[in-house]
Amino acid sequence: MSASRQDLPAIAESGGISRNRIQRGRPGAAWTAVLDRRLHWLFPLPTLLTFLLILGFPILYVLLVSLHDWPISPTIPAHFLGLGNYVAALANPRFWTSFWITAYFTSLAVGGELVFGFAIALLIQREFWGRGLVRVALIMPMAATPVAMSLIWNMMMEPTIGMLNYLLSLVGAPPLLWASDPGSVIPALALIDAWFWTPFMALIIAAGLQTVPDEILESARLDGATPLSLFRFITLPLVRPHVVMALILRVIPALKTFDHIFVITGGGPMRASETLNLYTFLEGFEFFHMGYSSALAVMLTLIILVVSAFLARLRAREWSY
Amino acid sequence: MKPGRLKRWIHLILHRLAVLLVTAFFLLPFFIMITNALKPELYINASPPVFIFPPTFRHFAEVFRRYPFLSYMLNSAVISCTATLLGFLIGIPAAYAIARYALRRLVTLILVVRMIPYVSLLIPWYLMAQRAEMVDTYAPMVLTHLVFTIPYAAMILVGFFEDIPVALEEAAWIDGCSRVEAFVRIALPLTVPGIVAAGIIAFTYSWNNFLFALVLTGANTKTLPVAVYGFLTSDQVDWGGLSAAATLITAPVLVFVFFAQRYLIRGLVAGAVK
Repeated sequence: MSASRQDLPAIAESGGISRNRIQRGRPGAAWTAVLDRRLHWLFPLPTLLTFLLILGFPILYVLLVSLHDWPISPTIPAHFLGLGNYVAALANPRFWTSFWITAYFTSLAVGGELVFGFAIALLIQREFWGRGLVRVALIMPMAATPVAMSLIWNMMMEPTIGMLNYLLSLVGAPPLLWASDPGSVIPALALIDAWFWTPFMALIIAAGLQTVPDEILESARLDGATPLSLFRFITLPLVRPHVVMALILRVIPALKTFDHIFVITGGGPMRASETLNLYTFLEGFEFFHMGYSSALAVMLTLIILVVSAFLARLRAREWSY
Repeated sequence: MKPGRLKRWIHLILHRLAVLLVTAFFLLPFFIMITNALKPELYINASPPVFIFPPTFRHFAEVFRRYPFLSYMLNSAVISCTATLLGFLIGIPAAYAIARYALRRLVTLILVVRMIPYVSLLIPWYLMAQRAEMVDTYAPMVLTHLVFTIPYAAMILVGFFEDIPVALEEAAWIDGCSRVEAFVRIALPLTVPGIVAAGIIAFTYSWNNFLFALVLTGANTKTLPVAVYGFLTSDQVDWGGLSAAATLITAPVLVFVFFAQRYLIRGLVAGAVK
């Protein structure tokens, strides 16, 4: 930070003459002086008030609703249950199935994105003709409307006329059921997630690779290091912080994935892709179990905050030097 | 040819081949989307797929004829523009304050806001909108989109404000400017490129939003993502129309982001490398 809280008053004091001049010179100047002194909390104030309205109050509300059997219609009174909804959720095997599906999807998607992203980062690291175009191709999935692209993926994964099975047939592989089979639905969705987010990993890791000094690689090469040991002992340790950061930035969004799962499977087939996020949504807005869904939402939020806190500590350790 | 050179050639060819495959993988869905949008009905369900066909714009015309697609576009545009402008009006001063006064707790708050799963806010938002009789109006959509447009404004622009030397503002104070004036006349104009880039990212995110719109919009305020999702749930899936609609939704953000590509990663990473 270039200007810390400490040195700003000093600057203001040194400019004390100017403040006097404003106060004498212009009407309303006393006002601006008052404003100036409170800038550090007046400027963030609109943000804080907005957060209070759209986040603070709703969070209290969802906690309240989660303790009730809460009807969707405002005319019917709510019925207090205490922790009943939480107990019911924790006793429900559907909750635990969702929990493990979420863990499975997240690790498969993020793990795949990491490996594939690292490979792409290494590929685009060197200079070649058309590199700019490749970068544009990598940016496109991140910006394209997820619902629209999910519908296209759905079309591509169609078992009879879809493009993916056609491509498989070209290499002589048998057709797959993709998202239509409970056994392959999570890998299929993870593949789509990888399409959306591998470029993100790749570009962050590529930025990390640029920080590896050429001289080090060169001198190690002169000392007879093989490409593999160069990668293992020089490149990898040096880009580790970037890799960890990319990983951290993907895990939370992956836990919260909604758009492509909802559009392509809606949680099916046979609930095989019903992540906690989907489960919470469906309970609330498909079955209108507002209280139960709120309890699920609170638990999902807690899970995500715990994971975030853990990841934040990991990040602090990596970026401490 | 010497064995060393041969090895280099093989390396080169393998590298280009891998790059080609990777690029093809990421472009494939766009290719399918555009070709299916232009294919006459007969060719769409052909197996194996046909790549040579007389292109038609019928699907695009049908999309506008059969659905009030223009009003969906208008809804999306109104909501995204308002949410971005309002979010930036609120978030820019916060970004400036973070940059100049090192407000760590505010940074933490914004990071926590980005972590919260939106699904847990949907129920209270919906119930609040219902109580206020504002379901299916623009207001709840704009307000809820602030939950990400403000953090985008704040987190991306902190870096831009930090890059402006404080000395410039100090000079202005000495010349009799108040802090607020120095911010408006000096810091703000210098950050315009950053504001535009961050604005594009926030707008794209808002334009693409599906979850909030699914719950909070109705017949009058339906946005494009919800509308195109409706193509799938109708009895008979119209692949051509769907592809045309998907193209129409995706095209504007792709064009936008093309111009902001340098900042996209910076925006997505913002706040993480501190």
